[in-house]
Amino acid sequence: MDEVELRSFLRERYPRLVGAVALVTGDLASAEDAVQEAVVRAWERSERGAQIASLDRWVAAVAFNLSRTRLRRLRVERLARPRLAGPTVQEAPTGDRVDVALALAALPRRQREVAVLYYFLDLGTAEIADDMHTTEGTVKSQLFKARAHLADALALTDDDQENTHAEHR
Amino acid sequence: MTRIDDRLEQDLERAARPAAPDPGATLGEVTRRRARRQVMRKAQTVALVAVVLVGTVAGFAVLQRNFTGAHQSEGTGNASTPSPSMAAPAFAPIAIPSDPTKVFSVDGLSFPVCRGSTIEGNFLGSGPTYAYVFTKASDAGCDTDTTVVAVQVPSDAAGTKTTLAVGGPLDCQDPQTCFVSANPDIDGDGQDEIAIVTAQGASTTSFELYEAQHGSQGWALVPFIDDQGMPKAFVEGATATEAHGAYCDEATGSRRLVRWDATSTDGTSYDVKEFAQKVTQQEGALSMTDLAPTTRTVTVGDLPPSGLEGCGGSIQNGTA
Repeated sequence: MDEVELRSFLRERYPRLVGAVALVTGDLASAEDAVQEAVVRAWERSERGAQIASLDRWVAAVAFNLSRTRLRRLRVERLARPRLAGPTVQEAPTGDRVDVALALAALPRRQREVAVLYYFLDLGTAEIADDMHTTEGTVKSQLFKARAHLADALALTDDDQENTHAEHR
Repeated sequence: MTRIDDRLEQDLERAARPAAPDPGATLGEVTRRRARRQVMRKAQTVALVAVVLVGTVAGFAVLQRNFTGAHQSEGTGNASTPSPSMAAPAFAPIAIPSDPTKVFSVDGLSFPVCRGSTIEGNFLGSGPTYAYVFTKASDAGCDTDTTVVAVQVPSDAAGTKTTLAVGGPLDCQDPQTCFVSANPDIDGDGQDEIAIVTAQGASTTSFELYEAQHGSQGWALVPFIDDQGMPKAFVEGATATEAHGAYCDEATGSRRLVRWDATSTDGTSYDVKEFAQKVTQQEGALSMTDLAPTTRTVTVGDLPPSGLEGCGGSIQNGTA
């Protein structure tokens, strides 16, 4: 990855990846930190001659891992600092944004990641399974649960949910 | 795609949009972050090398302290002082080539040898003689792993002609680092035992003991063995988290060998276990068992003696 490629990536893909990680973590600053760190690691790997098939997916997977690691470190602090319990929203969202942010925050971490990778980064279930080192069946199951929770939290119509269930069957 | 899927996609797009940062300002940050990582990696490499070097130097220092008895302790009357009753042998020692890989023949051995080492001691209990460690050579040269211990034994009444009593093969980790290292008298009976270094690591050394015994077949070299019937191995040396050694004490009124192990979690305070050795004669061997340990906690400066201190004799730290 040369500087031209890096600039192109930062211009075109970086914002969306930061958005994806921020949706999962609820924290824009830590999302930027994780994605930048992942980009640097991808840069170093490519300089060592390693091939990265899909830079988007690689950076996303590493950034999610890094934010997960950071989350584990924060768990101890959370016990003493209740205000850190649960993903925080940086700005003061209103309307739909607060609904989605709160609905996402209420999901288990894995479901949140699967939902964001699927709906926001447009990855397929097979790709998500590959990146998360799990089976496609597990991803579909997590996605089904996440979708049901989000639909419930966002008060989507019964028709929508029925469609969802029907499709999953 | 269903309406709920469309709705979720739209909602997530809306939710993420304000979070999108300015990518133009990011390149500099990514570049700086990469430079920081490179500096950190170099610093880690330097620190790792430093730790390895310090550990190696410390290990050698400990070994040096444990295995340089003869020169350092001359005239001090401690463990490394030769027995005052020792006089020069009436026979010459076997000449060992300075090139350890040179193959040579020795009277009394049916095979050529190489990598010889020797030490003088009262191994027969009747006066000075020489103990040896040799590697068995083949027709192709100094290339086998078979190593033996031998003691020069008088073969005439005047004691001027000799043959060899041979024991082994030794349990050497590597023939190149296997040598006769000391002539302690671990039980204080006036007859020296033969200490042989059988393994050398960066920080620790392992040695075994043999004793010459006279029977109906003449002189034989018998090993000190452990509960499993294997040659009993004694470890000397220290790492950052553990230390080992062996010494002789006479606290019970007679001399006995004590080996000890110590562990540490902080490099300054050590939990020490000392095992006095009980020796029992067996057929063709001397069984050596650990008695119940005594335990105590000490600082690094108060670790028990090592290097066979108190056992008499001299110690050498390499091949002759």
